[in-house]
Amino acid sequence: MDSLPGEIMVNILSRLPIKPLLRCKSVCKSFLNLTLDPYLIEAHLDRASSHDQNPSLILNTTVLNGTTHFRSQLYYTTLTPTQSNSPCEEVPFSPLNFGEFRIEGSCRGLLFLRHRTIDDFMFVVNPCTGKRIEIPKLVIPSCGVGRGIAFGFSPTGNEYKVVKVIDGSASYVFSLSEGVWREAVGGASSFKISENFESDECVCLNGVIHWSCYSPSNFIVCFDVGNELFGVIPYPAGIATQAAIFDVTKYGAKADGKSDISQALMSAWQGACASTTPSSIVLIPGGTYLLTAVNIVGPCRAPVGIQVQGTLLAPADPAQVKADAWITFEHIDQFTLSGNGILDGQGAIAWAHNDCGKNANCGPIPMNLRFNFVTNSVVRDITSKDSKNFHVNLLGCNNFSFQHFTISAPETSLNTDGIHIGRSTGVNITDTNIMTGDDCVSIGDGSQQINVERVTCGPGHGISIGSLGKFKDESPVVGVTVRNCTLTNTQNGVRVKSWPSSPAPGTASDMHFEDIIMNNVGNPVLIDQEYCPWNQCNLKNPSLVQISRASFKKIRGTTSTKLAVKLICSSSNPCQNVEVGDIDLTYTGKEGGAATSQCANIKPILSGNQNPATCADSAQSS
Amino acid sequence: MASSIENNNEKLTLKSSDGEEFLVEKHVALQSTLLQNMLDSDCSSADVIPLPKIDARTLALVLGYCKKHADASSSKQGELNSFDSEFLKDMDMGALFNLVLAANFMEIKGLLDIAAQKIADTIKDKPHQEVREIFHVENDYTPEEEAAVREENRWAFEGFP
Repeated sequence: MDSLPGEIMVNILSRLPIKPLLRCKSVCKSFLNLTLDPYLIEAHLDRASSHDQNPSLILNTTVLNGTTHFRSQLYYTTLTPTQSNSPCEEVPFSPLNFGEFRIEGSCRGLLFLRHRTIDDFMFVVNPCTGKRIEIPKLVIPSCGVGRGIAFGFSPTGNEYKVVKVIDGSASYVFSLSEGVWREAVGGASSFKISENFESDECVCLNGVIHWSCYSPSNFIVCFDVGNELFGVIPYPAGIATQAAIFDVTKYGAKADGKSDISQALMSAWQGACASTTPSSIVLIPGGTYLLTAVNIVGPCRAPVGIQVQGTLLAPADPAQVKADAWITFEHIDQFTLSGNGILDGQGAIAWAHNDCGKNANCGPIPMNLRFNFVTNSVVRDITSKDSKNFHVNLLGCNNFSFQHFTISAPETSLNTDGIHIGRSTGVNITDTNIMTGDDCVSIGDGSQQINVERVTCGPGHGISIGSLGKFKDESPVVGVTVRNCTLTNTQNGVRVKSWPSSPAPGTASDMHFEDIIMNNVGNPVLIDQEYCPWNQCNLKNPSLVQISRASFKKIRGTTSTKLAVKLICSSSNPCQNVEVGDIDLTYTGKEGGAATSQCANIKPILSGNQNPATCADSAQSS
Repeated sequence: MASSIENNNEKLTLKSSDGEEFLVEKHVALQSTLLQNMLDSDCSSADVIPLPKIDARTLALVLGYCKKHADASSSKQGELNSFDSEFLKDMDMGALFNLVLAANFMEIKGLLDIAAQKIADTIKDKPHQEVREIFHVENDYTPEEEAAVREENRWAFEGFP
């Protein structure tokens, strides 16, 4: 029997799933040629994208490779309605590393990829076969800034094209079939491209590329891939206008980890802050940037945010940060700091030279983030790492939330309090993980309505109110709730502390600690009104801070110090209305034996389980 | 010419490569685009239409398919689908190849589709060595060339010899 003619073979092979099709390349040379036949590729794509066949889905994933390196990989899976567990196939990319590329667009089965740092390293890839075509570098006489680049398919011309729009109303086209860059046939003359044409998103549909543009006002720029003509569609009336994005890399920031981006960040911020479009965003894209120090100052004309996707590095030498904070935010309303990026204070050198414990006149050491008088605002998702001093300091803030925030520094780093709250009202810290060298959360004077929930702490020094009573013009602390928190291997648990010999009276009231899990925690429950680290204080006179209406409830787990519940109040101002209930703490240290409790100047209201028996030892000794 | 098509009772004769003649109702023959074009252009003046590439066994199968599809009303798609799958069920590769060639020559799209799909389904889980045998093709790769092609598509060969 004769073999089947080519057209029938193409018909048969176009019906194969991708893997059997690739295996057919090994049958013989004529089969290999058949698989490269444009008609076969066309027919295969048509079948793969028709609704009655099994459509495929491309998944772009990022996985942790080892402990520090992320690896991106593409997978494709066939969606079969009857099979819930379709197998996923990794798309071959070797010898290139897919992680170095971002997907700029996809159209009719092909992906358009661009290198993350080498701007003009681009190629078009067929994710099923792994076959790719590199797009050559576009050499143009003018020096305009690239505004938009997109990839599209024209069903009429049956052609794939990459189009690049340049400032100054020029546009260039690279057709995969022609293989060279040239000016668009229709020319940009069909549409005067605004110099402010700004877009990050585009989609190709029915042979027309659509860019959604947010600047100067919201509109859609269209490009017909077939006749290469531009057009504009206004945004429909009544839909919310898109937030304006101010990308620092468009203001000169370089992601090389060496060039200071403070100027670029300030320029982008001034643009966002002046924008009347709500929720304008300053974007710091992926990559590593050096930032010396900045003051981000409001007020702004509309709600505004900064989104950090990359890693910001502070200079390692504290002297190079010529301010008391690396990044200061001041006088901003409705501000959002978000993104999965990292703010790295590079604090190791600063910690080694920190002598502020012993030297009262030590030089200022910059903290990572300072928020002064910032209101109705949110810090979300971001990570503060290795701050030289406190990670975050809040002063005069109102209605301020931390959500899914992460703080990370070594256990041995000096003075790296996680979040310090001072003279602020309505601060919520939720779903936040804090690992640091000092207090995870410290709440200073003048704090009101502070809510700490679902926070993990450790390593660190615990969650504390105070130290209070050191200065003479301190404001009261009123209303602190710490609930559903877990502390692990911390020096202290939950505590209220004040210095002895206060220069003036003060108060701390309505403080509630509830549902706290202690894992190997030192001093898990502690009121210490004789707080005197490094012995830099005078213990002769009592603290004048009046503690009242406090509770410690449902606190359970293990204690690393035998003394688990220590309530030492001021002899001049004994604690009032302190409830202690349902405490279950087991001592796991070397000395062995049961956990103990010691009290002074307090008559707590006891309820529920008491392990250890609260104030039992003090009662015996007194 | 149009009047001749409209008369459903008219018949025509098809002659296979091995000389056998088949009397076919015109509306059945119209399933074939080739025959339809011949009738439209009045090329059918001859009494017998020769089909020199199709043997009698294959032509009988093709005409069985055409009759079923010509006679079935459009509302019976489900019935036609089960006929189609039953039609090819136990057919050997040789018969399938003849059928796909005949369908291609006579331009019967539905039959070409199901026959090509059946062949594709048969080879899709087979190693490429077996695909060679099915299509009667020689391996004209040198061992080095074959290894290179295979290496390029290594992921497609997981679990295959």
